[in-house]
Amino acid sequence: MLKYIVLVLVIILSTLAVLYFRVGVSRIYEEPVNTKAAVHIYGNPEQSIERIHITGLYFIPRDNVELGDERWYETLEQVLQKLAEFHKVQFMGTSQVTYTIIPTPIVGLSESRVYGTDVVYFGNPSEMKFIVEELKNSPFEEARTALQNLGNGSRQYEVVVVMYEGVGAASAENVSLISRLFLTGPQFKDFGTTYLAHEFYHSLEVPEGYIEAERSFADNQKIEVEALSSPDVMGRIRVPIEQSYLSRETLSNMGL
Amino acid sequence: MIFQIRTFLFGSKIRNKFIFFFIILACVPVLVLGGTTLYFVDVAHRQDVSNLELQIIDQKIEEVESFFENTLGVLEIQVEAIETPVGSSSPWEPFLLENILESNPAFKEIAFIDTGGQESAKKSRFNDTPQLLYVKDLSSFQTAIQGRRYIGEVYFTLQGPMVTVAAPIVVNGVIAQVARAEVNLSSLLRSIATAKIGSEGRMLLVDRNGVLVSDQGSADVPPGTNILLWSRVFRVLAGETLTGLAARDRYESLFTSEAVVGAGKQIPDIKWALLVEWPISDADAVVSNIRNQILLITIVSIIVVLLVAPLFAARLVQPIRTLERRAKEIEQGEFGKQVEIKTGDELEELGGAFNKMAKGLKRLEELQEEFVFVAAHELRAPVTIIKGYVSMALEGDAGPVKGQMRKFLSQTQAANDRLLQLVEDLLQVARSEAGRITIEVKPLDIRKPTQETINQVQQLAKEKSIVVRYDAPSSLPNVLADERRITEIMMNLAGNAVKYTPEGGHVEISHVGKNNKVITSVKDNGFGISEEAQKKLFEKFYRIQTEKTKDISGTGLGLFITKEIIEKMNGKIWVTSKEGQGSTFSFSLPVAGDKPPVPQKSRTT
Repeated sequence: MLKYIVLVLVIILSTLAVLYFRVGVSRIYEEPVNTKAAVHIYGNPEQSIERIHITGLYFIPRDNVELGDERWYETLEQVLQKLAEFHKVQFMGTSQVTYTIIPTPIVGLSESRVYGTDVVYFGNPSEMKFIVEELKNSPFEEARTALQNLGNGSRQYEVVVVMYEGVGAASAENVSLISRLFLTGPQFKDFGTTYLAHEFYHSLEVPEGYIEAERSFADNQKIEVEALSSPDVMGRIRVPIEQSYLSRETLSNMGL
Repeated sequence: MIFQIRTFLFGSKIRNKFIFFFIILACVPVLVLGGTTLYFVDVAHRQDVSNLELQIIDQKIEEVESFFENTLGVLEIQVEAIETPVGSSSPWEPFLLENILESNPAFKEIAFIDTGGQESAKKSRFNDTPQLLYVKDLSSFQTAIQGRRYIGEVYFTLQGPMVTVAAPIVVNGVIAQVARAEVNLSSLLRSIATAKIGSEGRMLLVDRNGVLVSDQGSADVPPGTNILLWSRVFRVLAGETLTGLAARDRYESLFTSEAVVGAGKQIPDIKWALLVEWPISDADAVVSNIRNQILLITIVSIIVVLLVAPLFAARLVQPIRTLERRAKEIEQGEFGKQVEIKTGDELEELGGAFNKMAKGLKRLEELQEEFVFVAAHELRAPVTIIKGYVSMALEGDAGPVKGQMRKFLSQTQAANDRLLQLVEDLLQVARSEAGRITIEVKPLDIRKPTQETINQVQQLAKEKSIVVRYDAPSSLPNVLADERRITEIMMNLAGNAVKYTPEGGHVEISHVGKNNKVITSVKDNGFGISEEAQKKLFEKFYRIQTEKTKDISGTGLGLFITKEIIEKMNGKIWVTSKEGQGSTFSFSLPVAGDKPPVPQKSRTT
C-alpha cells in the first residue's frame, strides 16, 4: 500500500508542477535583436565614425591680428559643445564627438588675401589648401598632430575645426573652416553653430543639401537661386542649431 | 526513530488505505478544480489584457489622428479664406502666419509657398527673419502641390522630435499655394507617455519608416532608432493588427529584455504604428496569485491529510487490533477476558458479539473438559478390571493357556495397557485443565528421581542397544519441585528419547545450574524433529508423523502434560533439534531458596 501512497503523492506533485510551470504560464518568444548600427562616414562603411575627435583652433591671418576676439576660446568651446550635443541626438548615441581646443591662437604667416577665403562665403574648399598646408607645418605640435592624423585616426576619426578670423566657411580634407564672424556677429550668431555643423558634416563626406538652380517667371525672367534639395542642416543653414537636424536619408547613408 | 515513525504512520493497512484515500479525496478535487479554474481564468485574463491594450491603442490612435487632423486642418482651413493671386505674396500672409503660430504651440515654423516652389512668407519661433527658400525639389512641396496632404519623416532636434507637414491651399478649386509647417511632436508624445497600462507598461509610436518616435525607448534602443527590422513593427506598419492573444505576442522586449505581452495597430490615416508592451509579471499578476494559492492549498491539504489520516485510521484500527489480540488469547485458551470497545458504532456491536462468542467457547471448553474427565474416569474402572482378568488368565488362573489363546490374550493385554495409559493420560489432562492437579513443591535434589528414572528406562534401552548415560554433577543446588511429578517428567522425556532413537544410539542426561535455576537436559541422537513440528510439539494429541516414527506408539499427550506440570512448578521446557541429528529436551526449575517452600496448589477454576 505504501508504494501506492508514494505513487499518488508523486502524481499529485507532478500535477502541481505542471500547473505551476505550464498552465497559465506564457511561453516567451525571443524576437530578433536589433544590432547596434555601425556608423561610418557618408557612403563609406569602411571608415567608422563611432568616435570623432575635433581639434579646434583659432587661425588669424597676419594682417587681422588686431581683429582677434579675446573671448574666442569661450565662443569656440560653446560652439563645439553644441555641435557635440547635436551630433549625439542625430546619431542616437552611436557616434560620439569629443574635442580639444588649442589654447593659443595661431597667427598665419601670410595675409588674408593669400588664404583667399573671401570667396568661400558659400564654401570654396580649394582655397583652403593654403591654410591646411601652413597648419601642417605649424610650430604648434597639437596642430601638426591633428593635421597629420586627419580622417583616419586608428582609434577615432580626426577632424580639425578652424575658427578663422576673416570671412568664409568651407570644408576640405577633414578641415572645417568657419569665420569667427559667423559665430559672434549679431546677424549670424543665431545660426553660426548650424553653419559650423554644415561644414563639419562636409568633413564626414555628407554632400550639399542645396543646388544652384534657375527659376523662371512668366515674363521669361530667370534668376539664379539656391534650391533646397534637403531641408536639413546640409540644405538649410540659416536656422538655429536647435531647429536643425540631419535627414533620414543622410543618416541612412551613414550607417543608421 | 524512523522505524517508529514509519510504523506509526504506515504500520497498519487500514491506516495506509485511509491515508491513500484521504490524499486522493483532499487533493484531486483541488487539483482538478484549481487547474480548470486556472486555465479558464488565464484564457479570460488574456482576453482582458488584449482588450485593455487594444482599447488604449485605439484611444491613442484617436489622439494621434486628431493631432494631425487638427494640424493639417489648421493649414487648410485658415488659408482657404484667403484669395491670393498665384505667384505673389499677400500682405496679410505674415499676420496670418503669426496668428497660426500663436494659436498652435506645436507649430515651430510655418511658411507659404507659391506654385513655383518659392517660399513667399514664413514665420518661425526661432528666428525673427527666417530666410525664404526655394523648395521646389522638396517632397513636402511636391506632394502638397499635387493636392495631397503631406506628413514627413520624423526628425530629432535638440528640442525634441519634429515633423514636417504640408497641405495644399485651394482657392476656388485651384491649388493656389502650399502651406508648410515644422511641428513639434513633444505634446503628442507626452500624451502617449501618459497612457497607463498596468503599472509598468509602455506605449511606442513608430513612424511609417519604422523610426521609433516616442521617448519610451531604452539606452540600447533610443528614440530615433529604426526598428523596422523588428517583425512586430514591420507587420503593424504593413496593416496587421496584433491583438496580444497570439502565442508570439508574448515575447522578450526589445527595450528591457523582460517578458512582455504586446499588441499593436496601424494608425490608418498616417500609416504610423502604435504598439504597447506590458510586462507579463505585471499583466499576469492575478493569474500568478491564483496559481500560487492553488499550490499552497494543495500542499497544505497533503500535509493535513498526512497528519490527520493516521489519527482517523487509529480510531478505527485500535478496536480491530483489540479484537485481534483477544482472538489470539482465545486461541491460546484464555477465555476469561472481555474486550472493551466503546465507539458507539458497529465496532462496539462487533466487540459485544465477540465477547458472547468467547463466553460460548469457554462454556464449550468446560463441557469438553468435563466430558473428558468423566469419560476417562468412568473408563478407568472397566479398563483396570480387564487388565486384571487378562493378567490372571495369562498366569493360568483360569486354566492352562497356550498356543493361539496365549497369543490372543497377550495382544489383548497389550492393547488394554495402551488403552489404560490413554485413559490415565486423559484423566491427567482433564485434572490439569480443571485445576484439580496437585503439585507439592519442596526443595528437592533432582539427581535422585533422575537416577530412578534411568534405572526404569534401562530395560527398554537395552532392548534397542541404546546407551543411556547420566553424568550426575557432584554438587547441584536443590530445586523447588514435586518429586513424584519430576519422576513423571523424566520418565516421559527419557522414554521419548529411547523411543525416538534408533538401535545403537545413545541418550545423555545432564544438569547445569545457571541464573538461579537448574536446567536438566535429555539429549539423544535419534530421528530429530523438524522446525515445523517443533512449533506444535507441546500441543494436545500432537504426534510427529514421519516414515520413521509412524510405528512408534503414543497418545500425543505426554509432552503436553509434561509442559503443564513444569509450568505449574514455575519452570520452562523447550526443545532444540534438527531433523536427522537428534533432539535435546531441556527444562528449568527454580533453585530452592532459604525460606521454606510454600506448597503449590492448583489454580481454582
